[in-house]
Amino acid sequence: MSLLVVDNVSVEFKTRDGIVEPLSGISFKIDAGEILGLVGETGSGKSVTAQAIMGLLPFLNGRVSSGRICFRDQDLLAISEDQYQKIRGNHISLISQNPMTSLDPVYKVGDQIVEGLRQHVVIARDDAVKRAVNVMTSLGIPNSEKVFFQYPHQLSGGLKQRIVIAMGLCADPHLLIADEPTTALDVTVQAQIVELFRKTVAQRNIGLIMITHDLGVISNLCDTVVVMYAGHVVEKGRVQEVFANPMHPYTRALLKCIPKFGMPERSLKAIQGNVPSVSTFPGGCRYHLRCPDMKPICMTEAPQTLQAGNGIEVQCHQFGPNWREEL
Amino acid sequence: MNSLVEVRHLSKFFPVTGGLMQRRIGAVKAVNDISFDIYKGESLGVVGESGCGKSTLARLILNLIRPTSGHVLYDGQDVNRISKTELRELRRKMQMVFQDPHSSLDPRISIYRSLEEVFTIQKEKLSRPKINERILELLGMVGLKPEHCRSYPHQLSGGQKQRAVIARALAMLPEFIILDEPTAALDVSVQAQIILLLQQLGDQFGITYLFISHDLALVDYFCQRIIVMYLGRIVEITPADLSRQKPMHPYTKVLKESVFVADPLAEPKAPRIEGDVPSPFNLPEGCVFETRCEYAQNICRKESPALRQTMPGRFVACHFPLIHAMEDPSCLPVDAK
Amino acid sequence: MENTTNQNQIIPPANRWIRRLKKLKNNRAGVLGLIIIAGLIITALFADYIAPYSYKAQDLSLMNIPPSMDHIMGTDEFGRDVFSRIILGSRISVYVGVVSVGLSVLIGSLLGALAGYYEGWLDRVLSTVTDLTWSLPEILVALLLVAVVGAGVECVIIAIALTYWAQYARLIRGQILMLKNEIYVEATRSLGATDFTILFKHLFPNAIAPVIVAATIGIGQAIVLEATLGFLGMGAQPPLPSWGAMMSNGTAYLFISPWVIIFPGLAMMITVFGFNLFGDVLVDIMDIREDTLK
Repeated sequence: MSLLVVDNVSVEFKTRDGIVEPLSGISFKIDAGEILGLVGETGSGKSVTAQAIMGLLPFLNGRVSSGRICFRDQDLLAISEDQYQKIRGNHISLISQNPMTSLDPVYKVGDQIVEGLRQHVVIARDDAVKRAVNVMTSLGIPNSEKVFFQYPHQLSGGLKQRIVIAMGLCADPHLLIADEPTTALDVTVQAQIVELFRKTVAQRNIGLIMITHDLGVISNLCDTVVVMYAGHVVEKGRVQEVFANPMHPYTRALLKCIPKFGMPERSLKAIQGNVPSVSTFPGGCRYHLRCPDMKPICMTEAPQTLQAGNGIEVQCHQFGPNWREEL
Repeated sequence: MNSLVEVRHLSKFFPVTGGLMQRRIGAVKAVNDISFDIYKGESLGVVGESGCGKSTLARLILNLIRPTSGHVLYDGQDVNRISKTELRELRRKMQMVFQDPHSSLDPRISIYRSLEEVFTIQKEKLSRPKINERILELLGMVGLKPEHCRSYPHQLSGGQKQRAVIARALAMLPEFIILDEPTAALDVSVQAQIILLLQQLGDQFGITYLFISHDLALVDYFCQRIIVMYLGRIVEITPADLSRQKPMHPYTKVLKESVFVADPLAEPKAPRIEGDVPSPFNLPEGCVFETRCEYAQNICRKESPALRQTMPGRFVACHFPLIHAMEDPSCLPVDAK
Repeated sequence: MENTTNQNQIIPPANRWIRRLKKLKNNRAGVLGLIIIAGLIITALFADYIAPYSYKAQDLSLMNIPPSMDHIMGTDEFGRDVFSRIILGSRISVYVGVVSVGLSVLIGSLLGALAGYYEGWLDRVLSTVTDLTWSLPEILVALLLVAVVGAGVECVIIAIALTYWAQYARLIRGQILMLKNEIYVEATRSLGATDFTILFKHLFPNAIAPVIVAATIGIGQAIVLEATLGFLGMGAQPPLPSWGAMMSNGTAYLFISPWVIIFPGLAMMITVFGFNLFGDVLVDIMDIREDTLK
């Protein structure tokens, strides 16, 4: 039984100029104890994916238009808002992007953890405090009892991010979704937080969906990777396989456009063009405008998801049956 | 090599006030007594974490803020002690590209007007066709299309905006450009475009760059030399290519090892260092890095190490550099040469 | 790099006011507000032609007659046509509203901009003055002025200008304080721009939108204030027909001829309503970033 199955999910947003589709038929699954990296650029739909799983799409104009999201064999799209409320925060927690803004500056951090916990679990305040301090200590927060009574502005960025993680972990969720949790942090602190995620997942045997644009973090932390581009999953598979043998032209290009140590001078390769925004997604394969291997079929037909031998699933005509005929 | 910019004992302290009467209770030492040279035609990187003073340094060099003490000499001319006309003259030669392209352009002004304004400010009296020609040329240089000049900033993507900002900086054909995290707000695929564009423009016009970033791998790729800063001080100046050069300062080593490489064969690594960067308000008395340094000794807590040359072209401010200096009389403080 | 060889393709961007008017078209409340304001201005401009009777023609035989075909809003206690007086009265209302608020915006935004841009002692002095001014009740200032220079429309205008500028000063100071940390300000300075260029070419146009909105609503308030002062006998002097003064005179005959008080009141209500509607819509129109929100 997978912890979470996202099956062919599409999301629609109503806007002034009509309906747009920031997510089109994405699928992936995650097991307990697994770390899944969701990587993509602006407009790739990675944050919308998190919102869809959490049931937090904008209430009036956003909806899952097709597909299934199953959490521990329960269809999340079929349950009532009340039931969702119980799952959210209790079984699935979201850690949002910026630790500086996800804490309320006027309350002590400890109280914020306890309040969050007591919204989900029936627990006496004293017990909740004990539990919060325990979680804080387990996350490597020094002097947890003291930090408990401090205000967010008294803490450094790294400590704040640990507090936010503590808030997410306090109710003992089975699945943690972290949306760019290291982006706002310094390099040396980022390494600590990544290590913290690794340990936490192993100790608690939970699932972690790591949303990031940082391929370095994915490569170091994750077991599987889902590469998203313009609302599609273009490639997914084990991190080792995907990074060693990227198949989709986008993944290949992405890996080449990050500078690395020891890279010879002038060897950086850029991807041409701009990241499309949701209202300007092109037809056919959504990457075709920037793809160096583009063929006429890419402009007209959206590629199917194909299984490669090494467990990679890729969405590209190059590996499909129609490619050769066109040559 | 000829120095284009010489920075000498430059400091900037921001007063901190507190209490009922807003009395001065101390100072944040954003930039604390630093000296270095920028050579003509090179790309010099400045790397460090938040609070290390790298952005303050950029603004000091451009004379956008006044230093508490010390000098910045541009072509031998002290940028803080020149007249207004001379300063405007100097502004043609040195330019800056800022971190966030989304707020680097006035939202109410089209790209055309933004570029045109540079000529107005610099009192270049050009005819309309001449201005149009220059703007067209600038747009071409940074890879924008002529129709982009009609757009307002919010109509452009992040990468296009940063191209427009670069076009603005290039308008007066400067010889020196400070790049303050020019790609930090951009997508990965667009970052590479901008880096390549900057390199190509640098080659084409012989521009000297000061490249400020928190991304060591990026700086290592872009620059020939790297300055590593920590809490307002320079801890190391090293030639780039850190895959071969061994860091001399423990902090540089930590910084290098903290960079995650997108390589599945790289072993998952334990964090190299605990804790956060301390607040620049309460600086440790001795070496700035002492509180987090695994090699710290007693002397590190008491005495702040001076930046000295240990090998040709390599400077380090550490009592116990990781590579022991050759017993060499050239191990002198940086400004004593 | 294509197309760089051919002739000047550069066309300065389309006029943003045209785009704004297009946007206004989709907003019914805004259109209604605009129609009311336009109607008011046209009435004020052509009052002499619109009014069927002279505003001061007295005919005691026609005292306090109710609305009829001849006098659609009835007549007052001197037999003057109420409709004609309201039409003429719009002049005073528009004059007082626009001039007084215009003056106060001018004073307020200048002082506020300087305070916000330079901060330091200048800001402390100007902010103290602003706060003190804001605590002055307009009516008290008007009373004081009347005592010194005597009653009249100008007196009302000065009283309003002297007290209203404080709110605009505060508004623009806050805007400038916020905007001057934007990177484009620093970027422009690093190009060699002077304080004057930065303040008036970049900060001011970006900061002025909320002030214009507030001023639109302020005009409505100023018209009410003029009426209040007129009601107290401190505004336009008879026989000049100010709406406030008309209502004030009407109170004595409230039960005999209520139309004398109802119609000026209605005129004022509609006017203020129009300015408020338009002010709300201006918020949307002035935001250039809204243009491409799709």
